[in-house]
Amino acid sequence: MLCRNPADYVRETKKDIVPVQRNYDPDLHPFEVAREYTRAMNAVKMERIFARPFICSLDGHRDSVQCLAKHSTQLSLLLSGSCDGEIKIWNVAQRTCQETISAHNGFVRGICVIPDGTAFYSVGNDKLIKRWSMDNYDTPTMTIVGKHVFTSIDHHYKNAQYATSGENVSLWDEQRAQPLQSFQWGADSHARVKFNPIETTVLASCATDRSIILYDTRQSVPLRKITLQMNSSTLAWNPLEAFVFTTANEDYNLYSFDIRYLQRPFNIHKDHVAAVIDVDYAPTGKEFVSGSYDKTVRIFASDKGHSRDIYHTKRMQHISCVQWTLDNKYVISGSDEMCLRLWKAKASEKLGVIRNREAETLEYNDALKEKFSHFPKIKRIAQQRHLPKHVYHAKREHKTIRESQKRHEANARANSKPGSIPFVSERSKIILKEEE
Amino acid sequence: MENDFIEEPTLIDDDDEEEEKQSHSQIKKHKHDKLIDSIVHLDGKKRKVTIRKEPISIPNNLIVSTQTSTSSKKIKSHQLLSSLKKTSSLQIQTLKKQLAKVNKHQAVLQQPLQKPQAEKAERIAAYNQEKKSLKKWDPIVEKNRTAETLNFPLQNGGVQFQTTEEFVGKFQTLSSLEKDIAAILQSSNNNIQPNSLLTQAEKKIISKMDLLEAKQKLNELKRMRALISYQQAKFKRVRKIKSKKFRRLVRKDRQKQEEKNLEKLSIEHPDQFLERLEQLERRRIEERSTLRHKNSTKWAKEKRLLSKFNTKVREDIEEQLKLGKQLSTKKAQAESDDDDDDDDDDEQSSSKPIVEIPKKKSIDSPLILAPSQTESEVNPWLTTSPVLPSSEYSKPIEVQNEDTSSSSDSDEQDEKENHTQNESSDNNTSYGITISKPSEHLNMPDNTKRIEIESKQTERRQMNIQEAFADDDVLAEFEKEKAEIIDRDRPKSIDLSLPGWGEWAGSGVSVNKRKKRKFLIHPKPAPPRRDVHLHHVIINEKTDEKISEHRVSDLPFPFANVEQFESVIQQPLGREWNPETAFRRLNQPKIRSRIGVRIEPLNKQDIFLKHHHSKQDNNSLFDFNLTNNDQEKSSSNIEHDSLFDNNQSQKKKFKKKKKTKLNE
Repeated sequence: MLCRNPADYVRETKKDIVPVQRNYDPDLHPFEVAREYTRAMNAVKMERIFARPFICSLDGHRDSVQCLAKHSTQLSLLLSGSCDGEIKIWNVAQRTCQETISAHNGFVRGICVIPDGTAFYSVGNDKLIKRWSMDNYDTPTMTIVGKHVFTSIDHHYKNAQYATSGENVSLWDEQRAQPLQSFQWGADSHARVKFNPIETTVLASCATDRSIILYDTRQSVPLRKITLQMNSSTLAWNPLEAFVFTTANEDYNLYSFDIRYLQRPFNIHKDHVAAVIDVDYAPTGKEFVSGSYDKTVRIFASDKGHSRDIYHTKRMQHISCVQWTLDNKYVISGSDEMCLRLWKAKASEKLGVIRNREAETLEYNDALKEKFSHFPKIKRIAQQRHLPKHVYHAKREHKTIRESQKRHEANARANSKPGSIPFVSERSKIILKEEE
Repeated sequence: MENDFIEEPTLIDDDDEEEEKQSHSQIKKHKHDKLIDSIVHLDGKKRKVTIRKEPISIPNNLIVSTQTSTSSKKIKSHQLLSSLKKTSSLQIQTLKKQLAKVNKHQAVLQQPLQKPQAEKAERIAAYNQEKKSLKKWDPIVEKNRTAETLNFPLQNGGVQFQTTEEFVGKFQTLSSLEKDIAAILQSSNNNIQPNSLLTQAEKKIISKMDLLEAKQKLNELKRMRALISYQQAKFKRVRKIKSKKFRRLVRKDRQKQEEKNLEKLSIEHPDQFLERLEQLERRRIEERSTLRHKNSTKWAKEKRLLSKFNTKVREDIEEQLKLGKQLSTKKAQAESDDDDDDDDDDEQSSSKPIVEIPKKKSIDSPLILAPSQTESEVNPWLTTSPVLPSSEYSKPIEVQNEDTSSSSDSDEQDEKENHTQNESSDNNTSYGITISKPSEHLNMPDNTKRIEIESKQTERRQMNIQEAFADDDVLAEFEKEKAEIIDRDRPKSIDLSLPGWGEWAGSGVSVNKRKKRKFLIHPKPAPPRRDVHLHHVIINEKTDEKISEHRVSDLPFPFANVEQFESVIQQPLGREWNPETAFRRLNQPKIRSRIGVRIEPLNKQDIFLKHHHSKQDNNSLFDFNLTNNDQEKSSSNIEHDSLFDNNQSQKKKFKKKKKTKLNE
């Protein structure tokens, strides 16, 4: 006789947890693979439906945006410098411009916030380094007149030191008007200098003679220099792995290096169809975002060769700077048409409160998507992106170019003495030389 | 000597002026020679011409230098002194000594490198140093890369553990009942106070005794306490042993002990023995009435899921079934079985206690034993080849039956020579149970009967297969099915003839034979089937193309083989197939980060000083212990010393090794 005890399923109060009786007998739940495949298919379709990454644009600059900086302690604050010498401080949460400072004559080349977040530095085309307090934006608390134009500035992650790049790479103390040290090695101009966030004494710069140079603040000489086939516009250090950095190169690719083995990059990230201008790591170190001259923002997994997502809008022009926010949820891009744009780091992620059950379902869906990610139907849906026309055509064109180059090489190899044209790996091709 | 010097024909030196002079003179000389030669040859006769060479009085500076350069030897100071050997004045001796001293301490500095080279050397050194220092990150990076899930921010101050004392310090009695109980407990005289050896009650008793007796009592008490504490420590130690083997041994020991007790009982207290037997009987009844060892418990179900992949688990389940059968078979043997559900030792069944039962308790169970035939002799599914001519496998079971019967017959013939009583139990063979070699048991002492029941799983299985396929002829059916499928898939000829077309209509009109042949379209013969030569296989040649586009064509990257990939795909992740905890564990994301929480880059100090801190903490704890307890202090000091010694000895060993290596 079938009998049920109401105590098993009737709640005493409204807030009581309902006991769920489950029978795990496999005979009652057949076709598990097929059912989960269907669920994965649905999940991946839902993901594409909900993929709406663009949140808002922050407009207000009167010239194209040149540089971006995250505030080191406050998540909602963002600083941007433009080509007309203005610095704007944004409150991203409220999507408003908090302050506008006319800081430099000419371009604002770089901004960096000091670790405790009470002040920030800016450099410009007017050969000035200015220190601004976060309380009073009227006048800079300190101004240093440099000997040459500064192209970028970055602050040490712990100490009261900062580094600038220009004709040389200089290391400055916050208290002094003269640099502590200047490094020079061949190149006549440096585009960008960046401190390592973990091994805080190490820094690297991109020089305009196509090279990347490593330094240590404790040493009087640079450490090593590698020359690539084309110029690198910037680089970013991995915040989780002390010896890894990624450079944005003008040959449309990004290269990830281990600074202990500089003979070749350990990964090449391809997908852009124009020079890559800026790159920034996610604070988790597992992904990075890159902005390119092809008017798109791409997000790469740091261990994958191709991008996982591409962001673009009709109105967005050449990207000049990108940043990944410190809570790993948003990406910010600054572009030539005077706007900053705020994107979700994960295009289909739901913003706002997520209840436990919903979170569990989402996690389950993600796990399913990953499990069945190799299945052709699901792969196709997950990877398909609608590209802007110019990107689509450029991509096809580059593909043809690459194929023809390959064909030429193969032909040359086939019609010459065996062994005379060696096979060179794609990764070692891009490094011209490593100087000691 | 001097002549030799002069005769040197060519002189080479660095000095340009001298060289010029010399060359000039050479040329002059050469011309002179030529002139003389021509004069001599005027006559046509050869005349010996003597050339006059003039000795030079002053030995040339030049010549000496060239000589040294050609021999490439520098004159050492001792060589100079050697010429003074004969004169052995004191002055020269001292001079020699001084020179030796100077030579000994001669350390010549190398020429400094050029600036670019020097900088390069510096850079290389600095880079190598940096490289070396970065090596320490390898394990951390490896850990982060391979971590199943990373919860950001990674550094959240760490987990803090409460010590027992901290917990006790914070503990407070809350309810009035608890307070009352605590008060009562604390007021008891039998509590041991922290600083005294005796409780108050004990003190009271001792105070009433005389001194000698009291001392004795005290000593006894101390001894008892010590013994208890030793025993407790021992129990604690034994309780913590996790070894299955050890547990099994303990269990066996216990069984043996009980067995002994039972034997003893049978001799000394027959009444109790009977009771015990009754108890066993009751257990058997219980076993028969419940589903405990019937493969339907929660444990068994869980295991059954795993049994597909794990032979050990399968054995466990079989063991379980066997146990159930043993318990439920009618027993004359007494067992001291414990209520362990999951007995996983194989030897248990074989080492079941066999009890010799006195003759007076007559037990009329038959003397039966499992047959000694091996599985391969009997099982048709293992012996018959997969492909047989149809005539042979038309009735496989019958053949098999004949086989078994014949084999058993032959066995019996052998046995008949020894024992005649076998024939009575011949019927048993049909149930898969045969009697074999009872002689051993018959040779046992008269007053006892040795009874043994073995339930071999293989026999059961064989019997099951026989029973299951008693009626149907599987192989023939298969043949038939295959023939049908072949027939179905064979392309058929199409008949396009229309009855009545072009003919007189009406009932009973037959189609013209010629017309029929004309309109019959014969298809092309199909290519041979792929399973033509495979008798035991049907290959479906009409594949479903719709499903193929849902299938993976190549093995994806991280997997090494197809089995691996399939096993991953076949592991379901959903709630229907996994319990809640497993569901959560299987589906946890690789990265967890919360909205609005800042994630800082890794902090070197946090990571590499943590280890240092933990060491410091240990040291502080250590100090605390020292101050607390004097005894511990001494012991721990000893430990410390010994540790130190070990280190020392290790170092010594290492040194020794080094030395031996050097010697080699």
